Amino acid sequence: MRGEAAAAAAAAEAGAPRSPDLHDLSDDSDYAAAAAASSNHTAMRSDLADQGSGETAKVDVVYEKERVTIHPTQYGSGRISGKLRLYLQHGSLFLSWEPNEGVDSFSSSSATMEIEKYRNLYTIKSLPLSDVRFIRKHTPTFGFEYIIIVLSSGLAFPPFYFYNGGLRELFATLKKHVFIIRSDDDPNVFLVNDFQDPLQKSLSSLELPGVASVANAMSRQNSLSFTSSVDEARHGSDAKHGASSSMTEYIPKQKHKLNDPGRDLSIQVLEKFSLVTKFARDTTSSLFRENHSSGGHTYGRHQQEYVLDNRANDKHKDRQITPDKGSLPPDSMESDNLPLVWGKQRERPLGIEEWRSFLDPEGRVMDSKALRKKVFYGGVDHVLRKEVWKFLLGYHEYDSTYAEREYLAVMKRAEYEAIKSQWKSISTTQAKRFTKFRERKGLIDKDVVRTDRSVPYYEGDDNQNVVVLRDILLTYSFYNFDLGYCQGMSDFLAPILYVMEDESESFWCFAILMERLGANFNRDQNGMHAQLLALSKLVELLDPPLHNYFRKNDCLNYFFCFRWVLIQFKREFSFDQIMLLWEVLWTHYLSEHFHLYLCVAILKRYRSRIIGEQMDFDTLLKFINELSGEINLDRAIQDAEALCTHAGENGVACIPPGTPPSMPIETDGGLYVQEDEVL
Amino acid sequence: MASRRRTLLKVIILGDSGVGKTSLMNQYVNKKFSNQYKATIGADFLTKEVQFEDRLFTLQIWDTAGQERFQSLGVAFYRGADCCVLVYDVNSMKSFDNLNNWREEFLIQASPSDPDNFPFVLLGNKVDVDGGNSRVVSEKKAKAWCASKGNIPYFETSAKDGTNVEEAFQCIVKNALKNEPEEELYVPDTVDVVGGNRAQRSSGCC
Repeated sequence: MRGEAAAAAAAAEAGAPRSPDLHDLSDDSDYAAAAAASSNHTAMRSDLADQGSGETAKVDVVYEKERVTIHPTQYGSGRISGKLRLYLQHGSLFLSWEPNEGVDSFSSSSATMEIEKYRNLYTIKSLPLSDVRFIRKHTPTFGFEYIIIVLSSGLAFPPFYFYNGGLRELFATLKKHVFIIRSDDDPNVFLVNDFQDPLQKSLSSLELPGVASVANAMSRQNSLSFTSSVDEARHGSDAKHGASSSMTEYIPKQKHKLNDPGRDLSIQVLEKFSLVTKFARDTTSSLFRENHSSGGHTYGRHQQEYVLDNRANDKHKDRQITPDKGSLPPDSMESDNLPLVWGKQRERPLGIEEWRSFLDPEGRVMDSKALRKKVFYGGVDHVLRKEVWKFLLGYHEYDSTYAEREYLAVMKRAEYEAIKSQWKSISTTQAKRFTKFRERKGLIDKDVVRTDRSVPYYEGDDNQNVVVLRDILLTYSFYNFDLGYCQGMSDFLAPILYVMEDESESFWCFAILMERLGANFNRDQNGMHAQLLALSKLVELLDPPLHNYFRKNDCLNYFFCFRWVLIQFKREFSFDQIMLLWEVLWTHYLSEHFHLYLCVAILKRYRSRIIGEQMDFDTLLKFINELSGEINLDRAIQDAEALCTHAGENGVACIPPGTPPSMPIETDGGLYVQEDEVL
Repeated sequence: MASRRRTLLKVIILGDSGVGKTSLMNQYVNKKFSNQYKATIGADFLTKEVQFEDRLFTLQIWDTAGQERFQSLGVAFYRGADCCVLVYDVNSMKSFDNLNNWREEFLIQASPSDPDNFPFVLLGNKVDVDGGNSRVVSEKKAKAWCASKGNIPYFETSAKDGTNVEEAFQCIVKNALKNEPEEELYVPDTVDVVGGNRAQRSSGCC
């Protein structure tokens, strides 16, 4: 019960007490030096920094893998590939990871600066394996395998993703050269240099100069935040609030781990791995409040000892200490896994003044990331949508000028008219012998008259805007003849036309949106299946009890979320709300797949009802359909933001590359081959 | 005699986009017609309590997206169906021509234990349109098709004004029961009704 308040209090204090001889890691570039310093503290090695460069001649490389990649940000553009090596030097095994030169192929120009920073930050020149406490292996069903290396000091490196495989060889090589055993508690954890009891090793870190002061300082926090870890039953209340200097005599040896200066250090370092810890500081909502009631009192520290996995990527999380999965009942596990992360309070929409401030005199958006961030948190004032949506959708380049955009509009209008004339020129006689055209047109005609007709812009008989809707969709079905027209497309187009109030501009915005979402409408439904599968993985990650419930009740196909995903919640919210939600999604600010986190957030909100009422597939589908108009959008976005932040790289790993709305991975066969499709 | 326990009857409505599946369902369950339905995305269902032969049933009517492209979803929604209602628009030859596809696709995806005797009902909808002047599929043609598929009961309906909707669903309930495993019924007279139904199926339904 006290977990939340205590952790929040501790969070406020986090990092405050600091040993003077530990490096302050607030500056990223100091990381390498600080890491070295921490190694010195643990007395596991001497003076390695110098060895790496000077004596390459004696190096014997025993393992080498290219395309071992880190994802320092959540964006695909922020990935850094490098070479992971194991090598022998002076009879000891070392690990190195060096990023490739230049900008990775994934990178976009805007991310380059930041990537360069991470490149320096995460380079490993020579890490002696004797400094490694354990390596955790992750082999997700989808996405790349990765490992997390955790040092004796408690420091953890960000996950290394093996794009070209090679994980087995890595462990095989490790086995040859160092003592490595699989943990009893978690088969994916490989303890390195283990001395029978993994705790033994961490104890050695206490026999260090400068520890006492840190320990004392830390213990005050421990009493607040590590209540679950302190073995109260055995050691009584003296230990619980033992901020005195006698604490080290009092408590059992293993407890010292909690006072490990390495952990203090790790909190700081983990902060750097944290992508968006600032959300946590702006705590405004309490998505997870109800789930903190049970705390973690039942688990011994033994299991908690070495589970600094990469989900513990912010300080709050670190303090919570993720217990070992395998040994815990699902409910408790859930409460312990949940982050103290909240979504930010929604902001006011981007207004005219602020929008102007984003533009340089010639009309370029100077800081597109800041713009996307602003829109993510607040949306766009309606009068600006016409302008801003074109950037968000990718129709306008952020660095284009007013003049360039005007020119583009003229050129694109001509191009649009040319495509439109392809079907406009089909005579009645020709149409009679053109079944595919007639049928396609018939389907579109049927759908446009039942698309958003309650919105004044489209209401009433003989509404010209409905005709424009029809014309654009028919033109699109010629522009992208393979994909053609599919139900749901009119749902996407209607708000766009409403905002753009221009046929050609609407067409191009729609067409570019379909570049990302066209796969939703493929006949084989591969785009939909990929997303529903990713959703299932995300729920498994972020809400194991709900996942288990769905599994037991044969609901894992997630078809009850089909409508949500196919048309990105169009039918779940009002017309005004959907414009806001879509502009938030189109920022791709935290994730290209934010809509999937939104699904998880909503499901999580209703989890107690779903499970409590023991809904079967049918009931669940009905329940979900009837949520239409009932979902609190702001809260759902905030929840989704928190979940996305919390999931971090693990969330990214749930979503296979190319899953819509990521840009599709092109193949020779074309993107939209619709075998035997009639329409 | 007759048991009062409730039983679920699952019915799937299939047919081309825009033939009026959602409207038929809403007319039957809510006695309402709207010009402002949206194209169905994915699937949804309505339920209605119905009484038949002194027994109470919950009729669960499934409405699915009509575009052929979404057919592959059927697997999830068709399973366990007790009756399949095929709908076409009497003013659209194409929607009639596609009935074979819908029927076959259903049998493949639902894979009922006895596909040859699985109950279908055919509805020719929108008979109200233009006073019948725009009609392109004759009743005779529709009945011939029904006969060729093992005497499928046939109704001409208007979801808009409600013509024959109640009657059609009465028949749907009756046919859905035909598929119910006999051991679950244990009511002798109900079994008789099923037998009787089989005998008189050739002429419409009830």
